[in-house]
Order: sequence, then C-alpha cells, then structure tokens
Amino acid sequence: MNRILIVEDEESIANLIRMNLVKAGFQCELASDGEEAADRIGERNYDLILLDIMLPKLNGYEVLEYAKEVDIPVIFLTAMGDTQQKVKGLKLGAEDYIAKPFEIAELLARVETVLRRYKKTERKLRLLDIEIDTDSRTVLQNGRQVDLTIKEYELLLLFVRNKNRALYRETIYENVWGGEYNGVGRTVDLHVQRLKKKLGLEEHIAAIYKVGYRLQV
Amino acid sequence: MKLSWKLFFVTTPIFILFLTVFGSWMLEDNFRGNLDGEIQRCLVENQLFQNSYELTRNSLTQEQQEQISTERLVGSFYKKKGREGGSIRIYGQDGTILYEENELRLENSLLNRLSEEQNVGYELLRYGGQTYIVVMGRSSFGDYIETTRNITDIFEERIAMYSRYQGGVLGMSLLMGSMILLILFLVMRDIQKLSRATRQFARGRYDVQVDIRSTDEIGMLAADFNWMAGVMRQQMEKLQNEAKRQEEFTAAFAHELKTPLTSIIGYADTLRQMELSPEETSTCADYIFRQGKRLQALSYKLLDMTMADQKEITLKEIYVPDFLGEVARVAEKSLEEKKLRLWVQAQEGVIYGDRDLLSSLFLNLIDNARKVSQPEREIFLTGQVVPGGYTIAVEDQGGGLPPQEVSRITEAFYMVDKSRSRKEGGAGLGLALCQKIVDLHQGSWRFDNYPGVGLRVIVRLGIPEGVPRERRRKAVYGQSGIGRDRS
Repeated sequence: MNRILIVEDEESIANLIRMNLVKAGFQCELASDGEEAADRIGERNYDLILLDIMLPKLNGYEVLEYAKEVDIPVIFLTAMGDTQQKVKGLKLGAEDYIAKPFEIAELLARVETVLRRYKKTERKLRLLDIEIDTDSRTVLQNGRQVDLTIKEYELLLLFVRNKNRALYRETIYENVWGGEYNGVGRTVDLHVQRLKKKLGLEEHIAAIYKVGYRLQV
Repeated sequence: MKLSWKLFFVTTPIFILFLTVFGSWMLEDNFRGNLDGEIQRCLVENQLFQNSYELTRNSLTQEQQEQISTERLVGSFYKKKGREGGSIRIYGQDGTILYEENELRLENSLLNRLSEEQNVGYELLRYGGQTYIVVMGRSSFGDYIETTRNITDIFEERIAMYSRYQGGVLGMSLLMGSMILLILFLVMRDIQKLSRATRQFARGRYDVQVDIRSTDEIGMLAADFNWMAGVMRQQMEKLQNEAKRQEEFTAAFAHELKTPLTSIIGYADTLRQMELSPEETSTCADYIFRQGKRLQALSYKLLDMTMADQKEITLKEIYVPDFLGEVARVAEKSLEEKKLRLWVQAQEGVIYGDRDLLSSLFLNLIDNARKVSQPEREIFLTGQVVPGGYTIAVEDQGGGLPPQEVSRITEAFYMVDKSRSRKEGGAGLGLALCQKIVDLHQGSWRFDNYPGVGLRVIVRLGIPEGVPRERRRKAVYGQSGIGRDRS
C-alpha cells in the first residue's frame, strides 16, 4: 500500500484529498505547515508527497528540498494560475503539479502516474479473474491473454483505479481520449460496451442514468 | 543658425553703429568747439592788433604819421613771428598793401564783404595742405587789418581723434562681441544641459537631475526642471507601487477565491461519484456549506471595498454617544455566542463623516476583537474629545499580536492566524476595508499592541474644513459627558 504525505494548511482541502485517496486505497498522513512536513519527511518514508506552495513557516519550495534529499517524488498543489510558479516548481524538481481547483479523477490520475513512473505501484493490478500487467500493458483473464485496443486498455485501467466510483462520461472522455467532452458523441458508450463484452463484465460495469458508468466489485 | 550667433550678429552691429554715431557726434561737437574758440581767439587777436595800431598811430602827429612808415609803426608794438604761424597785413583804403609781415598771402573775398555795417569778418581757407583762418577788420583810419592764422592743428587733431576713436570702437566691439559670445556660450551650455536632461527624461531615465547652480533664470528653469522631474518620479513610483499593490491584491484574491472553490468542487465531485456513508456525506456537505459561506463573506467584503472605493462621501455631523450606542446594538448580537461584553463610553462631541461607512469601520473592528477574544471577555468602545478632533478606540483582551505582525495587518488577505481566522469566517479583508474608510475620512489610526494582553485600535477623526468656528469649538472642547455604559 502506498503511503502519501499531504502537506496542506487548508483543513478542508487536506481532508478532501485524504478522503479520496484513502478510498482509492492509499495510506495518507497530513501535515499542516512546512515545518511539520519537513519533520515528517525526516522521520518516515513516503512514496509521494502532495505539497501546497503557500504554507506557513516553510513554503512549498523549501519543503521540496527536504523531499529531494530522500528522493521522494513531489506533486505541487497550486492555487496560482501563474505559469511562472508552475515552471519554477517543475524546474526545482517537482514531478507534476495540480492546479486548484481540481477534479478528483484528475488528482487520482496524476498520483497514479507519478507513482507508476517511480515504480512504486503494484506492477500487476488484479480485478476478479482479470490481471493487468502495467509494464507490458497486457491483460490476462484466467491466464489467457485478451486483446484490447489502446483506448479499451486505458478505459479498463481507469475503471480499475476508480473502483466503486461513478465515472461521468466527461471524466472518462477527458481521461482516456483527452480534450473537452462535447456531450453528444457515443464514443464512450461504444467503448464501454465493447470492453464489457470482451471481458464479460456485464454484471459489474453498471450504467448510471444520465451520469456514466461505475465498476462495482 | 544657433541662438548665440543670432544674438551676436544682432547686438554687435547695433553696438558698433551706436558707438560710431554717438562718437562722431561727440568728436564733431568737440571739434566745433575748438574751431569756434580758435575763431574767437583770432577775432580777439585781430581786435587787439587793431587797438594797438590805432593807439600807436593816434599817438603820432599828422607829420610824424606821414614820415614814419607803417613798417616802423607796426614794428614798435609788434614782433614778427615765423611764417608758419600766419601773418599780418594792413591794406590801405584803396586796397594797397601798407604792411605785410610775410609773403603768406591768401586769396579771399573779405575786402569786398566789409561794409559800413560790418567792419569785421573771417574766412577759413586751405592753402598748401594747411588750413588758415583769415580775419579782416576795418580800423578807424579806414584801412584794413588782415590777420591770418594757421589752424591746421585742430583739423589734424580732429583726424587723429577720429582714427584713435575708430581704433577704440574696433577694440570695444571685439571685446564686447567676445564677451557676448562668452556669456551666450555659458548660457547655451546650461540650456544644452537642460535639453540633454529633458531628452534623457523622455527616454525613461526618471532619476535624471540637471546640475546647474547659477541663480539666474536658467538656473531657476533648471531648478524647476529638477523639481518637475522629482515630482514625476514620485508620481511614477506611486503608480508603480499602486500597480504592484494591485497585482499583489489580485494574486492574493485569486488564492483566496481558489481555496474555497477547490473544497466546494472537490467535495461536490466526491459526493456525486461515490457512495458514501451518511457521516461522510454530511462531512462533505458541511465543508461545501462552510466554504460557500466563506466565498459569500469574501464577496460581501469585496463589494464593501468597491463601494468604499467609489463612494463620494458627504461628511455629516454625527453625535458620537448616539452613534456608538447604535454600533454597539448592532454588534451585540454577534457577541452573544461567545458571551463577550461590550462596554461603551463616549464623551459628548461630534464627528464628521458618512454614518454607514463609519458604522462598518467600527463593526469590523469589534468583529476582529470578537474573533480574537476568549469567551466571557470584554471589549471596550470608547470615544474621547482631543484637540482638533475626536478619537474612538476599540480595545480587546484577545492577547494582542506578535510585534512583527503589526505592520502587515492592514494588507488585504493578510491573516495573522489563518486557520483561526478561517474558522471565524474571516476573509482577511476587514482591516484593508477599514483602512479605506479611515482614508476616505482623512482620519488616521493607530494600533497599540500589548502582546499577551490585547490590542487597542484608535481611530482619530479630524474636523473638516468649512465647519463653522462655533461648531468647531463645540466639537473640540465638548464637555466631558456621562458615559453610556452598556453590557
């Protein structure tokens, strides 16, 4: 289980992130200012740090230095739309940034991506009788390989990572295809239908009226 | 053509012309005087000679007169001189020469011109490069006495004077011309300095100063330029600071806006995507509600600030004890929850201002006091007459501020204790708004900070221009009244 340190002085946002990350299967700890964060980084090992920039005592950039010393990847949480700050964060060695306000799916996707980049996620994801190897990008069902298109594979990954979470068509579209969802195309539905058929997930992927789909296990 | 050359070419000829005309007139006048003097002298000389001649001749008997030649007669009283000086000649009635000093004989028409009425006359003649004056007088014996005198000297003197004077004029002109050029050069150098400075200023070097120390008009112009540049620079800095403040405000505002938005969007997103337990659902809803409230508070405060910015305030006389009573009544409600007590004491007196804005100012200050106070503490609202105005203070027992924070508390979105301030529903704009209101009333304020004890905010409001003297007195020396204590 991955351990994530959330450094955020705003209690409501810290709790929001923790609530969602815990539900997604991560272990979370909170630090509400820069000093506390630096202390915790020194004391324990984390797989990832979600770091706010404007913090009391020590700011995000300073905390980043501590994280780099022990080689923990950092994702900045920034309220500024300011490109310069994003660039500064990335230049200083942050893995990624998430601009506030953000959607939960985006948060989870970025967290997963960074963890995968650092090979800290499980290489093999399991769901019922399906096994997904994220390195070789192969899907096995009962030991037999299932051929999926790239989009179908991405779609499956999104469902598995967001188990028991209602995924809106727009969220699915934005995460798998990228870009703005115009709200009319049937692309998402067609791909979900095909995925269900190929993997026999008819009973587990439920359509939610007017919303999208949910993978229930 | 440069201005200095223009001035040079205009002034120098005028100067020369003036000197020439005036000098010529002077010289000519002097010459006339000399000539007239010489003529007078010659006339007198002729007269004297005639007198001597007549006297000598009269002293002789008729006989003697015939025997003695005119030559001897003249010789008895006159000693011959050199030819250069001139000569004396005596003509008889018929025009024959009776006596001749020397052979200098100049043709003249005087003999014909003399008559019964006019028995003396003179004529100027040039002969052999010399100038002579010939005077002829008729003696009582009927003969004519002609005296000739060489007056070339005065003419030569005139020419010498002229040439000397021309030399003088030339020298003077050269001197004056170069003086003018020098002065103009100096002046122009200063003007060029100014012009250079102006160009630099135009190119954006706003710290440029002209180094001209003279006290003349150019110096004054330079001083004015420096002054203008200084004022412009200040203005520029003010604008830059203003822009910087605006930028900081916008950045801080964006941050303040995005924080509650992040919570609202995030929790709403969580609610719509997940099946949550009832406790979790209510936690999410609670966050959304509270952060929404925060946004609301923020928007209200911003609205207040915008209003304060745009408001043309009319200063109205406000009777302070009543006013503070009203403020206290409004504030009381919010104080109930913490069981805080508000004490109001106001001396009799008036302030001048906008009632709504001033209410907002003191309500904000009381609200700040409320936020920092522990339950069951006290807040004091006191009004006091001071020379030239009135002060109203809000004092709390909330423990004061860390000393280094005092200077920053009026910055928009600055919060000493972020988490507590948020919990109390603060947007970090209260004191920034108060500052605006104080500024609008041209008042001043002060923070007396007692770390560990409390904070006293003292707002001083002056008496604006145009309030009648009597009223001013009343306002300034208002009787110390009975306090209106409230609890």
